[in-house]
Amino acid sequence: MRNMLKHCIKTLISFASPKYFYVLASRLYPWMLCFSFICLSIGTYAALYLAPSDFQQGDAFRILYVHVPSAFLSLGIYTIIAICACLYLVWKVKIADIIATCSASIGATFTLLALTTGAIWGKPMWGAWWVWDARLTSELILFFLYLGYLCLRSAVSSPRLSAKVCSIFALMGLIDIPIIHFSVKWWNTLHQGPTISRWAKPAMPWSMLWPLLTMLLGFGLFYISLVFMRSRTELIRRERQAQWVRVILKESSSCNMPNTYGVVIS
Amino acid sequence: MQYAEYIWGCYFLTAGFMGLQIWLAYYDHQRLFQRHDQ
Repeated sequence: MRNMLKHCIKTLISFASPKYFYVLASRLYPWMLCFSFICLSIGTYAALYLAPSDFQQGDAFRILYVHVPSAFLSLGIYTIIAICACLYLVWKVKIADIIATCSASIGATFTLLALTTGAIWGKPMWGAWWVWDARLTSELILFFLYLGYLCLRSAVSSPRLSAKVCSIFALMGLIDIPIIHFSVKWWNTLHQGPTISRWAKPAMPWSMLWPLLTMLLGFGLFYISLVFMRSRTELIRRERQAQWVRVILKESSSCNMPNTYGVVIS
Repeated sequence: MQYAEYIWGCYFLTAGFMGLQIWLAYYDHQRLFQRHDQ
């Protein structure tokens, strides 16, 4: 048991090495992207054609199949950034900072998508594109937090200082995540309460639930594959002086195309 | 389908954002290697 645990920890630590992470990301991202497209295609078809209409919202509830996963990812990605920030500040894990950097722009996109699709859903349902509701306002603050994080990244020129400052900023902004999550419970909001809860039975029938779960899986896999794609580029940019990166760049220039998989681990 | 323009608008917007993200990630990677070749 102890040997197995030691082996697991050793494997995890080896993936924190930039070279191993590059290989892992290069091998996994095409598969993840492929699976995410399959899930998204099935989920979209089921959401638009198979799921029955809601008795109150009619067909407009179908917007929630893209709104809920976007909102879920906007919160999830920020939490991942905060965990990575913690890993960087405590153990100086380089990969953690790279994942946080690559996740920020993706998180900002999904937050903007959640806000926009929410506004498009709100117009026919509430009669307004926007209301200063607790959930909506706290989500807008999250979008500004993402923008602040991205601005801070590009504003500080020293890579080490930039990583440190951004990690502290990300940890400070983490306070907004529980506020967004519990806003519908703490305040009397126009936004509906949670439909899927970890502790309670889902408030929607299975015929409506499974397309949502498929979309959630598709969005999640899409995020992971994008992080892998972006982190490969970021790794090469940061580690360009390392021997293994020189090998990749040499191979790519001799083949006249970017190296995708052919990394030799010595 | 009721509110079809709102629903399709959301789905096309999502697809557009996702496509843009993939293109940006791919373009960034390609550009890095092209810069190195030059």
